[in-house]
Amino acid sequence: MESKIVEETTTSSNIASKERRVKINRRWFFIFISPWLIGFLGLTVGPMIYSFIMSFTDWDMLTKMEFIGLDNYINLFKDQIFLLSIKNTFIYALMSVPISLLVSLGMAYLLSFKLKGMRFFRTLYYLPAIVPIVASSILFTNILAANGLLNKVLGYIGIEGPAWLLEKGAVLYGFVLLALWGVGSTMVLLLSAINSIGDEMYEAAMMEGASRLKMFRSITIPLISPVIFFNLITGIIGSLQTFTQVYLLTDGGPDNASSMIVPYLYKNAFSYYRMGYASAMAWVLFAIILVLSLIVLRSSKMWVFYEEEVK
Amino acid sequence: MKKWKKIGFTVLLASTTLLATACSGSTNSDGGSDKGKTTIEFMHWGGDETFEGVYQERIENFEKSNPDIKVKTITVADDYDTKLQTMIAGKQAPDVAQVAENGSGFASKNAFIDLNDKIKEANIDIPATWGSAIDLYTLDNEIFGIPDRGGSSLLYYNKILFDEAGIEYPNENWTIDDYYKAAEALTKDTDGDGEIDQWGSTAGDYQLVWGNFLQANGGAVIKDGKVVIDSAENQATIKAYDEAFKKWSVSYQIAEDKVNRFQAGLVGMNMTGFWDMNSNATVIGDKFDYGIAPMPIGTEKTSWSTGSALTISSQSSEKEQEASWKFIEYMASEEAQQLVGKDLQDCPANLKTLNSDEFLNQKVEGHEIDLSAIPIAQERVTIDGLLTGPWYSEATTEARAKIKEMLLGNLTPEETLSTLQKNLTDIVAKY
Repeated sequence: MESKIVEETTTSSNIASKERRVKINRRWFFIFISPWLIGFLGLTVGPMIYSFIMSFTDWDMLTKMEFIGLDNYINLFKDQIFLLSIKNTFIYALMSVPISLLVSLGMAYLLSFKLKGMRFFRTLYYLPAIVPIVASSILFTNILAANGLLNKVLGYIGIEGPAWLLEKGAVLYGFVLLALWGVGSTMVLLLSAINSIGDEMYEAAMMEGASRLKMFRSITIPLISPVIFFNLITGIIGSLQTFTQVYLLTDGGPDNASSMIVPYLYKNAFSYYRMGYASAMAWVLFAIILVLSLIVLRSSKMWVFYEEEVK
Repeated sequence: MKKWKKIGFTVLLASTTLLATACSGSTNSDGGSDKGKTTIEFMHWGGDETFEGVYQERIENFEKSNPDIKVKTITVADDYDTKLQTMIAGKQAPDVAQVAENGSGFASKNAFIDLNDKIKEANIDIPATWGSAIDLYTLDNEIFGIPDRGGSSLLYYNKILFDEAGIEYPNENWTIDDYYKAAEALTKDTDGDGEIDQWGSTAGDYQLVWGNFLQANGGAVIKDGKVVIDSAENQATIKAYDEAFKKWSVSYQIAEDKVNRFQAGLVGMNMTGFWDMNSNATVIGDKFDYGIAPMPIGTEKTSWSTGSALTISSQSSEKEQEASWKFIEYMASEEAQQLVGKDLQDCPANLKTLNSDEFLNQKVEGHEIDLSAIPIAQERVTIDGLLTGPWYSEATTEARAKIKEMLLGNLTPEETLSTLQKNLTDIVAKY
């Protein structure tokens, strides 16, 4: 069969039908994304704008809103408990995110060995991550009790554990332990990233006499760095927004030693009738997370390696 | 690109406007009349069990004798304050709402109507019917709530442990010193292993206990809107309380396992509200048999309030308010209050009911227990300023946190009170 190359002549009718096609496509595009778009605008963007406006008022949910300008924001930085909450949240995030990443990376590496029964261990270590956070928090009230499971185990190896939930100096560590218990999901992501690295690289490296550690550092880590990057960002965002665990385990105690930003925000909004003040808190948290995410994003150019970039 | 932006902007504007109107909406009548019948909404906390035990029968009786009024009940299992808050904000407030210490917060924002006139019209003798308990539901001389469920702090004691130790049972004239002496005698190492396994008391940072002790010695946390917690009497009271806790109360570390050691027969005395009457009675046996007494007294005879009241929403129409008042009047009547106290499901607020033979001669889960402490304790109810302001939640949280630190040994009693004086004053000023 002869293939004819049909040249598209640039007649006005051709241009018009092309434009019509584009218009029709665009319309369908909006129709298909409209459910999500309406939800996003009405349930996310709309409330965000409303909350932003609220943060400049003294609204208590019951009486009329009065504009008070920047008073909420100014008072926030005089509020000792808020400053303490920021400090606690940061300490918690600075501990739980890197430690979680390291632990899950180590576990993923060990699980990537092609040994018999690995599937069983993979499932076992992933299971805690699918326990609802409410259930695991309540479980940990028993584990972290002064005479609880953790201290009993520590006692067997001769360490006298602190009263995790009663001592100001120990309570944040207790929360880090709870976070570590749930590394399963991060571990699974890293594991699949490690497993997707082709064997050729390792074989080539082994032929050149590279040690396991060198292979890990120079082959594995760079190739899975996008996944590490993803977990780092989501870990930071998630840990800065910690709420459920604090609300259930200590409610900010003992004496605000475990008070974090979101639990304190919740208390202000719903127990202390200070919705405007709480909204200002939410926006301060938003700013903090935004800045930190941008920092990590910018720094990623230096250490995240995307295969597609290699020309 | 332009069209995209236009559509997006329009939808954004539309949803924000929708949200704005929804939040600042006009007054909605939430009840409504239907062929001469008025429907009122009644909201309470405690879940279905509480509804069946304390409200259902009374509501049915009321509807029978008032066929032109229908009561629609909203039973809240959790987060009652938040729910009430959002309903009021959304102009959907229930006509009748149950409140306790959270009442003054809402009342200060004009959520409820003033009931003074209605009470006068109905010729109710306030002191004889409710005593000082009604102070909890009074703000700036306006009464916003009618006491419906009573209850105050009570001292539960394990008769068996008292017999073993040879101590006389607590009674209405027991002083705080008597209490400390008994706590000491009841704290023992029963199996000789060097660890205490029987304690005198469970007293801790629960404000019902230490607040009661402060009041009994003539002090207070907040009085007339001013923080007075750092006073000479309070210093002495708290110092003794702290020492007693460290020697004769179940420690925090041990209590973390949430075992009910009082019911297990390991603790001599437990001070809490009325709500433990039935559950304690179900475990009466060889190791546990209990009696009740009013809280120990000092220079004053006081009790800490644990009751709740019924209010009428200021958002309701006049017709709904009239119907609501009829409802509340019935709920507070002696006949209805007897139903509250039936089988000791809850404690009536009406003093006349509490002092009646019908109430006092009841058996608790089949056991005979001397209930005379209940009306005595109820009559002694004294309301601390801590409970009668919108600061209740924040101030109580702060006070409990610092008292807990003191009991854990991290703060001295003097430091605790002086820190609380400063912090509570700051908190009260925010409102």
